[in-house]
Amino acid sequence: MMPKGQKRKLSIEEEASDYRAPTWESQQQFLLTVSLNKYQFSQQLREPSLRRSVLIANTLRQISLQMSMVPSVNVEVSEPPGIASSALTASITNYSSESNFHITVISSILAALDSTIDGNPQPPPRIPLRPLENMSKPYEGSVALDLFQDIDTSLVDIDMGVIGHRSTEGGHTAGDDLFMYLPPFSPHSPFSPHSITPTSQNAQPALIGQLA
Amino acid sequence: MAGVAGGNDFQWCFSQVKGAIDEDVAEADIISTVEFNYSGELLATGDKGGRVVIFQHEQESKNRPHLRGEYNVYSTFQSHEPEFDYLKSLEIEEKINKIRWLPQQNAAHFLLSTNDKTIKLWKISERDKRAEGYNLKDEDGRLRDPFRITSLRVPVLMPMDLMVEASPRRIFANAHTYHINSISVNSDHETYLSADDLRINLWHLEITDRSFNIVDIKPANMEELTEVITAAECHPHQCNVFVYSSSKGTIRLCDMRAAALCDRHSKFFEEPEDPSSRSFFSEIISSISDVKFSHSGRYMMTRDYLSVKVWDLNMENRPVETYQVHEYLRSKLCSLYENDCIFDKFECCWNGSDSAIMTGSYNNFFRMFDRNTRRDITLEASRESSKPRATLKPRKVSTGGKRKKDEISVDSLDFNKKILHTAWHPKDNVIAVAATNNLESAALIPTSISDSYKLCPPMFYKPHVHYL
Repeated sequence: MMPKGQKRKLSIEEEASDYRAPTWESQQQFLLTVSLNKYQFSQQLREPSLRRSVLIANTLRQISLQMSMVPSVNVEVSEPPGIASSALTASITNYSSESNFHITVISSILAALDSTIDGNPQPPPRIPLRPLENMSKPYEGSVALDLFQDIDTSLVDIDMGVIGHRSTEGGHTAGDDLFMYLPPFSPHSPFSPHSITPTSQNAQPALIGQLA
Repeated sequence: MAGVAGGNDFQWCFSQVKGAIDEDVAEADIISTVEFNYSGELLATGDKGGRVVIFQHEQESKNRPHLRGEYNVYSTFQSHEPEFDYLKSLEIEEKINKIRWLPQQNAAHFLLSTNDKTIKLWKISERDKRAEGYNLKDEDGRLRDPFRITSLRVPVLMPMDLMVEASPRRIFANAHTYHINSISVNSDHETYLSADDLRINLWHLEITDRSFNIVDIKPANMEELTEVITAAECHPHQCNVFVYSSSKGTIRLCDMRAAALCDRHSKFFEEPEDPSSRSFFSEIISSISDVKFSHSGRYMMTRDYLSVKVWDLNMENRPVETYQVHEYLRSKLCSLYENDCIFDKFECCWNGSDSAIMTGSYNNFFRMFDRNTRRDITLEASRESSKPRATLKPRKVSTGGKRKKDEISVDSLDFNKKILHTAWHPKDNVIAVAATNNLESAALIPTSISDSYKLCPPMFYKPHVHYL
């Protein structure tokens, strides 16, 4: 069975007896990445399955809770090309402060689901803007739905290009420090077809995981 | 019941293979549901293209007594068409998720078929006579000039070639926001339930513009959603009782007499988790993909990713029987999560006497368990292995160490060939199994040999089903 997508650094089938061992972390990291990928991919499908989304979201929740229980551990993160490496290495901190990020992700994902399914668009929860540390700011003209402003990208070891499929008004390139939301937060998402381009009201700043 | 050898055991062999012979079966032809009617005379299949094909059991002929009765195409019709929801900019798939027969009350047959959003009641009726000798029109249908008619005659019914007609009698639409996963006809034969991810509705078969919502698990805040409904079924005898299963491995039994909204269950079935086998995938593999009452109504069976469990309705804290379907996959869960196989929804079914159960697996394997003898068998449903006049050979997956001859190793299993949909004849030892991979789709109908090692020759059909 060949898995799709990710290159694995370690054999995942090995059982790590000690949860503090590197393989355990790698497995968690790997599962986290895979889960986020899966979730994103499923939202781009014509017919996203609620059951699948909920199961993946629950798995993500579990992983992030596990990660938050482990006190500060340094994790090897390979530096992506084109992104300020100093900023990233400086921001590798313990997981616990960032575990809330995942919960917020998941909550926001499900909130967006609600607004789409029922046809009552509700504005997703808003969090005050905070400037990214050492990162370029999101563009002007984008709506302030910056749930991932304080994201620690070290947690997200995603080996992929643009995560979201949205093109925003600013016309950013992949090389910039763009952070696309993993789920786009507009009333039209996550069930909208791939080809719908958002109006300026719905454009979100982009948050991208680092490239492995 | 199937056994490997000896004594009064049955053996299984292929009787018929329906579907395309060649490999290029279109995606639309992939069978998505299989269901026998109450007598077993008819077998309905639904496919991804929204079509329903009904097979009928032919009576055994005197000329060829060694042949068990075959199933031949009886009717084909397009049940659902692809739709587009303009409000949400979403396509609605025409794939038939479930078919359920109604008990037969007159010469016609009725079934319910559903896609993600809409349920339809179809009437399948035979016509073998036509009236001839109308007064007002010619035989070819043209109206006659009234002034030319000089005498009256009584039209006469003349026999004609059998024609089977399917007509939609009711359309039950616009009641489900989420995707319908189950429909179940109630024992009162007047109502039925339909379940989607978050809600269950109760319908009257005669009324299409209204349904009662009897279960609603949608949280006020969708951020709090952690569990969805995966299957639901009415009790076979008690028309006030139904069950529904969840993605967290729980089953709730509800009594409609207790309240109009059955959000509070009467019984709650859950097996406590084994802490030693806990992993990140514990919840996903506990998600129940199918729930079926036994014919007796005393037990119910649930299918999760790795096992089938039989529950006594009087005991909520654990199942009475657990059968491992493919335990060798437990160490592969991470890979199965990656390639999405862990989300596959397998069905399960009882035999007519509730003494055996069956479910599908990968590599076109399906498994049967005898509840009395505790024996089990793995068989493969594939054209390559089904030579004429041969019985199906039991298969075995080697779980490690030395692989014996004829065993297949876990790593060489084909995870694209999965048997998700199975049905067991309500009276005979006949089963229908839909074997799917990316390209190929077929419904195989093996029969058993009852009393000896006589081989029953399998029937192979030309491509494809006959479209009228």
